[in-house]
Amino acid sequence: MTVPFSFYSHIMNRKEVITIEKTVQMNSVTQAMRARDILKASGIRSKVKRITSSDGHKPCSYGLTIYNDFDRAVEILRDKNFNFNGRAFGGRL
Amino acid sequence: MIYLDNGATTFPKPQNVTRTTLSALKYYSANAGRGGHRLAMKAAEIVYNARSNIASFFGMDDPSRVVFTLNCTTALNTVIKGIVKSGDHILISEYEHNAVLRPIEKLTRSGISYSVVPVYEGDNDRTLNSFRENIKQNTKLLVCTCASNVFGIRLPVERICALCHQYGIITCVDAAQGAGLIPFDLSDSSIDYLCIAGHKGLYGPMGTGAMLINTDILPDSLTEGGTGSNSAQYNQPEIIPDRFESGTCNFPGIAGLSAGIDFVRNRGALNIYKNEIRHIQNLYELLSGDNRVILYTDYPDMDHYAPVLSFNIKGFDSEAVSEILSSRYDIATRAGLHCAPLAHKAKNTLEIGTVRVVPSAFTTQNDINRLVSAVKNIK
Repeated sequence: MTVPFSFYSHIMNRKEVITIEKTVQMNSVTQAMRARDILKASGIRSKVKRITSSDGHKPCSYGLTIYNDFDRAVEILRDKNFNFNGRAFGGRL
Repeated sequence: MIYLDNGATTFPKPQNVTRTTLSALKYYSANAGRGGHRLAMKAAEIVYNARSNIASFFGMDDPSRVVFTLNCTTALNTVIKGIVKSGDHILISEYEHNAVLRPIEKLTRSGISYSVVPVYEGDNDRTLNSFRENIKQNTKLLVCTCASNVFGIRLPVERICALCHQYGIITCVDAAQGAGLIPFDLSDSSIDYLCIAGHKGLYGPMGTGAMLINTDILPDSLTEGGTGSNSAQYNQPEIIPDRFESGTCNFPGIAGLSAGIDFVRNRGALNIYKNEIRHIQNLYELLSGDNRVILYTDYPDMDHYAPVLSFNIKGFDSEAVSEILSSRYDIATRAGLHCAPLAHKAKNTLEIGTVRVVPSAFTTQNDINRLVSAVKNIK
């Protein structure tokens, strides 16, 4: 059976949605980049991005999208005294 | 031109510095930390990489503890005015620049006192005792240069800061003249704040400097304003570096400063220091053979001196000598008080000033020889 492209597209979009939900809000772009580098040293991929004011966040915020090992990532950052400015999208903080 | 005014700012800048600065300005000059578009994020990345580069160069592992300032003066003002309150006492050395003296002098109108501590050239133990003797019950802050910008005299800042910590005194080192030459490892140091100029021994562009925070005690902010973070708050963010970095940063300058640090890393700070002090030692030897020349320090060994030499010619004003060197021989030196009246008071040169010579990584022995030849011809 041939699977229509739209099906894969749907799956891909769902994956993107899941990824976006694992973004934590950071206090500043510097903190976000530092967090990214710390996670990278522990084998966790992440990306710094500007986050929107949706989901209760105030404007002018940077976030860190974490692609794998979310809970471990949060633990690592907490150990390094990172203060997440607000809650994560999707993840537990 | 033979440029020997590197104590004011290094010239020429290394090629990678001019290239990186220009490239940042030309291709990436969005506002770092103010937006989410591709160019703003690229600019933010460049600034962050510069922060990381500076942090690691000075032995720190947290880039957010590097606060960019316009120059060393702004960094020093931030520490001085942000730490002390009415009734506090400050210790400074007798070789401080006006970047330290003037903000502190102004604070005396707000009930703050200070002591100028004598320094004993070549005798670090005695200098240390001198600082100990001047500590008071209410001494809150030490501000001390790592090397005189006029006479090159080095102060044992690590020992002085360790002493001050024994008395609970916050320590701040002015490394304007030493950063890029004198090694600092803040991971194992009693220095709480290291203030640096980016455009001198670190070979960055003008308009760059930094305050390196090596303590959990934070000064009040010197200026408040937009930081690109927590914008809904009416109050200045507490988080560093944002707390101290209001307004748009000097993005191309910061990119260039990072390139300057790369230049110093590649050459090796110690190698640069050795070469420069050798030039100063040669100059000292050659000038000391001329009985018309007045030198103000002992022979400049590396343990006790930074590569800075001041001199005068008997019967000549220092400004006149510097002017002759410039106009007749195209040699750039600096004359006068070098914004450091305390240092000149210590050496009795407050009335006449001195001619100051500071080499850089690009200075050659031929440059020094031509300077000596020119000095001998001034009559």
